[in-house]
Amino acid sequence: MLAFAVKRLGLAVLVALTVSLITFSMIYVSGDPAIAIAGEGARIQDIEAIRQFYGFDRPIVVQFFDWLAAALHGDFGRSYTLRKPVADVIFERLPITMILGACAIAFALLLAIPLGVWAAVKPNSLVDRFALTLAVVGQAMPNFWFALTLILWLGVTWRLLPITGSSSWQNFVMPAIALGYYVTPAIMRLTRAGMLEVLSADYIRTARAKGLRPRTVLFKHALRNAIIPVVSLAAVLFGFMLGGSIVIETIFQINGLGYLAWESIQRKDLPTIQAIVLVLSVIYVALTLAADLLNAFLDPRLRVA
Amino acid sequence: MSERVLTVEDLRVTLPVPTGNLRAVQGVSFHVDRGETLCIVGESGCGKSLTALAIMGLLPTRAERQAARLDLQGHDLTSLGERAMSDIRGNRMAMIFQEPMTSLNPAYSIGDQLQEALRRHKRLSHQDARTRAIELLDRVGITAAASRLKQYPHQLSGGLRQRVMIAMALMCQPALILADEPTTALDVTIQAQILHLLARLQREFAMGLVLITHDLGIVARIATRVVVMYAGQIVETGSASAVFSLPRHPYTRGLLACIPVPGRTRRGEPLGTIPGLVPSLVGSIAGCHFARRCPYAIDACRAAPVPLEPAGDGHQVRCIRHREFTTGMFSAPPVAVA
Amino acid sequence: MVETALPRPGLPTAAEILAPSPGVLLRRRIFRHWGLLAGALILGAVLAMALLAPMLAPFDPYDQQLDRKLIPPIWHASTKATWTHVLGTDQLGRDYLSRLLYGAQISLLIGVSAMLISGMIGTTLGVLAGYFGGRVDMVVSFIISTRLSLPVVLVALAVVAIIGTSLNVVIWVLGLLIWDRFAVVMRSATQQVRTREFITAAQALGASTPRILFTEVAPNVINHLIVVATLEMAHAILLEASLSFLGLGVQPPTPSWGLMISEAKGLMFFDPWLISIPGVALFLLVLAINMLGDGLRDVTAPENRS
Repeated sequence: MLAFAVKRLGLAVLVALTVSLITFSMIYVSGDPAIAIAGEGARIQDIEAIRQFYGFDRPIVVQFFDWLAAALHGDFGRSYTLRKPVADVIFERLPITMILGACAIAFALLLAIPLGVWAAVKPNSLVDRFALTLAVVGQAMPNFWFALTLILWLGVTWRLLPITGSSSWQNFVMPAIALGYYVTPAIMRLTRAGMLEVLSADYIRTARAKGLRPRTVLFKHALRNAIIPVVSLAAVLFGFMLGGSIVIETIFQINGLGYLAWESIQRKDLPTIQAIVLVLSVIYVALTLAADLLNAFLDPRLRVA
Repeated sequence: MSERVLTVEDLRVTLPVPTGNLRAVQGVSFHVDRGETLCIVGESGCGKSLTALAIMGLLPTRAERQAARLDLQGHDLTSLGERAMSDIRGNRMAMIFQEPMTSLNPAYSIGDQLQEALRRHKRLSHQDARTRAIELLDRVGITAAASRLKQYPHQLSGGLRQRVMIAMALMCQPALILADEPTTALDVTIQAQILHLLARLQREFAMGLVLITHDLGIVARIATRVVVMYAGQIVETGSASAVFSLPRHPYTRGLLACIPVPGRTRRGEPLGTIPGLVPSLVGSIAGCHFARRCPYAIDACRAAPVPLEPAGDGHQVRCIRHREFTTGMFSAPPVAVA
Repeated sequence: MVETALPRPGLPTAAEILAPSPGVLLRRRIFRHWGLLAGALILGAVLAMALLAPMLAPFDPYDQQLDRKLIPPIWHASTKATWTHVLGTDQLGRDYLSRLLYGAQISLLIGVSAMLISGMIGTTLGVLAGYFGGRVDMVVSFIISTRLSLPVVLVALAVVAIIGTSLNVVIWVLGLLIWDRFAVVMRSATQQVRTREFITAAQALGASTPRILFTEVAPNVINHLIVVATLEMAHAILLEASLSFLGLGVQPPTPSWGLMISEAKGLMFFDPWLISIPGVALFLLVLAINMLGDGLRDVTAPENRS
C-alpha cells in the first residue's frame, strides 16, 4: 500500500511539473510576449524596456526555473493589470470556486446516486427508463443555455432565487445546478451499472439467505461495494468542474477563479492566466491522486496489496 | 421419534422464458427429520438447486413457486410474506452455497458478517454476538478464532471461507440446513474435511441437513436418505443403503455404473456413460422424462406420465418396469424384457 | 444400448443452415434500435439543413434590416409575427431562420473537423500504447494524464485570446485538446485485440507491424472508433458553442448558434425566443449525435452496454 502511494505520488508530481511547463510556455504562444504586452503600435524602445523589466531576455530555461521556483513559494508574479500579486488575487477567489464546485458535486451526487440505485433495483421499469432518459437529455444540454433558462424561469419568472452575485447561499443554488447537472448522467450510469453487477453477486444472495432486511442488503452490502468507483469518479469530476466553472461564473457573476480567469483573458493578463491554469491543474492532479488512494482505502482487497 | 423438521409436498417451480414456461421443478416431495442427512443427487439442470432456493424463498422474482405443503417444524411457509420469511431465514433455517470465494462480502470483516445474523434475529449485544462468533469459529475448526474476526474474506483460503460460511449458517442454531454443493469448488482433500465437519456438526446441533450434490461419492459417505432427481422430477428415493444396494431406476443404475470401482472396472474398457441429452423442460414432456436415454424404454414408457410407486420400506421409484430390476449393481446383469 | 435419435455433433442442423448471416443480423439490429434511427434521422436533417442552406434560407443571414428588428416567431400571439420571418428576427433585423440554417454549417464544420484532428491524434497514441505496451504505454499514459489535468475550456480560451479568433484557430485548438477520450478508448480496445490469437499468428507468419496494425487490429477496433468519434463530435460542438458564447469562438456577424445565444442574452427577458431557438437547435443536434453514438455502441457490441 505504501509503495503504491509513493509511486502514485511520484507520478502526480511528474504530471504537475509537465503541466507547469506547458502553462509556462503559454506565454510564448503568440510569439514575443513583450510585443503582446506592449500592444499594437508600441515603440521599439518600449518593447525592449518591457522585455528587460519582465526578464524575457534571459534564456528560456532560466526563465522557467525562476518562474517555477517562485510559484512553489506561492509567488506567481504580479498581475499586469490588477497591480497586485497574482497569488493574492487567486487565493482570494479560489475558495468561492471551491464552494461552488462542492455544491455542484453535492447536487449531482444527491440526484444521481438514489436515481442510479432505484434504476438498478427495478431494471427496465418506468424509473429506469426515466433515469436513462434524464441522463441522455442532461448530456446534450449546453450548460450556458441551461443556466440562462434557469435564470429565466427560477430567477425572473418565478422570482425564487437571486440571479447574480455571491453574497448568500441562495446565490449558489442555480449556479450549482447549472454546473452539476452535466456530470449527473455519468455518476448515475456508473452507480446503476455498479449496483446491477453487485446485486447479482453471490454475497448478496448470502446476505438474503441470512434473513437480513432488504434495506440492509441494499445499502450495507450492495451499495457499499458498488459505490467505490463512484467515489473516485466524483473526485475526478470535482476537479473537472473547477476548470469548467468559467462559463457559469461569468453568467451568474460569481467572484470565483473562473470569473477571474475570464477577466484576465479579456485583459490579456498572462501571469494571472498562467497561475490559474497551474493552480487548477495541480488541484486536479491532487484530486486524482486522492481518488486513487480513496479507491484503495475503500476496497479492502486493495489495501494489503 | 425424531422431530420432523421439513415437509415438502408437490413443490413446483416454473420460470417464464422467451420460448415458453420452463417447468424446472415438477411435483417434488420429501421430508427431513432432526439428525437426518438427506442428499439430493442429480446432474446440472435437474432442478435440485432451485428446490433448495424455493424452500428458502430465494427464487428470482420472475419464478413462480407452488406447493401443496411446505412446512418448517410444522409451520406453513407458503403463506408467509417476504418480511416473515426474512425472519425465518438465517434463523430457523439456513443455507450454504457452492462458491466460498464469492459468497462473502469483500468489504466487511469476517466478524462483522458472522455477527450480523445474530444481531438481526436475536438482538444480542455486540459483545455477546462476538463471543458466540468466536465459539462457532472454534467449533468449525478454525484456529485463533478471536484474531480471525478482524480478517477480511480475501485473506482466507477457500476451505477456511467455507468453514466460515458454515459457522455463519449455524449462528442462530437453525433446525434445518440446506447445503448446495458445499464442497464442489474445493480441493479434494479439503472436501473430505468439510464433509466430516458437516456430519459432526449435524450430530452436535441435532439439525436436519439437506445436502445437494452431483457427486455420488459424497452421498455414499454421509447420506441417511437419498433423493435422485432427473429433469425436474424425483425418479428414486429411499434410504441410502437401499438405493445403493439395489437401485431400481435406470437413471440411478446408470449413475452408479459411471463410477469406476477398483477391482471391478477393467482397465482399457470404456467407462460407463449415459448417452444422450437432458430433455428441454419448456412445455410438457409426454411420458417418462428419461425414456429417450433409457436402455430399457418401451412404448408404454412414452405414452403417459409415470407416477412414483413404492418399492418397499420407504423406497420409491418412478419407473413402470422397476419390479424387473431384481438384482444389485454389481451382481449378474438385470433381467430385462425387451 | 438403444440408439437415441439425436443429431450427431459436428454436422450442422437445419436450423443452423437457415440462420441469417452476420451482416443481415447487424442490419436487423440497426433497424430495431429506435434511438439509433432517431439520432441518424435528426442528424441527417441537420446535415441537409447545413448543405442546402443557400437554397433553403429565405434571406441572407448577414442582412441587417433595422426596421424589422425583434419580430417574434410565427407561434407568438403578437401582431408583429409574420410568415415572412417564420422564426422571427433578431435585434439587428436579421432573419432567424436563415441564421439558424447557416449556423448549422458552422456547428457541423467545427464538429467534424475537430473530431477528425483529435481522432487522428488520439487514435494514433491509443493504438500505439495498446499494441506495444511497456514503455510506449507508460509514456502515452503519462501524456494522457497530463492532458487530463489541463482545464480544457480555460486553456482553449487563453490560447484563442492570445493567438486570435478565427475559424481555423478554433478548430485546431479544439482538435489539439480533446483527443484524450480517443486515446483512452482506442488504447483499451487495442489491448483487448492484442491478446487474441490471430495477432500472434500473423506475427508468426512474419507480418510487419504496420501490416498487422492495418489488416488485423484495425477491423476489430473500428466499431469502438466510430462510437467515440460520434460522441467527441458532439463534445466539440458543445465546446465551440461555449467558446462562441464567451466571445472567443466564432466572431460576429458569423451565425454560430452559441454566438447567437450570447448576443441575445441581454434581451432574453423580453424576447426569450432569441435564446431558445438556437438553444433547442444545439440541444437537438447534440442529442441526436449522442443517441446515434449510443445506438452504434449497442448495435455493434451489445455486451458493452452499461
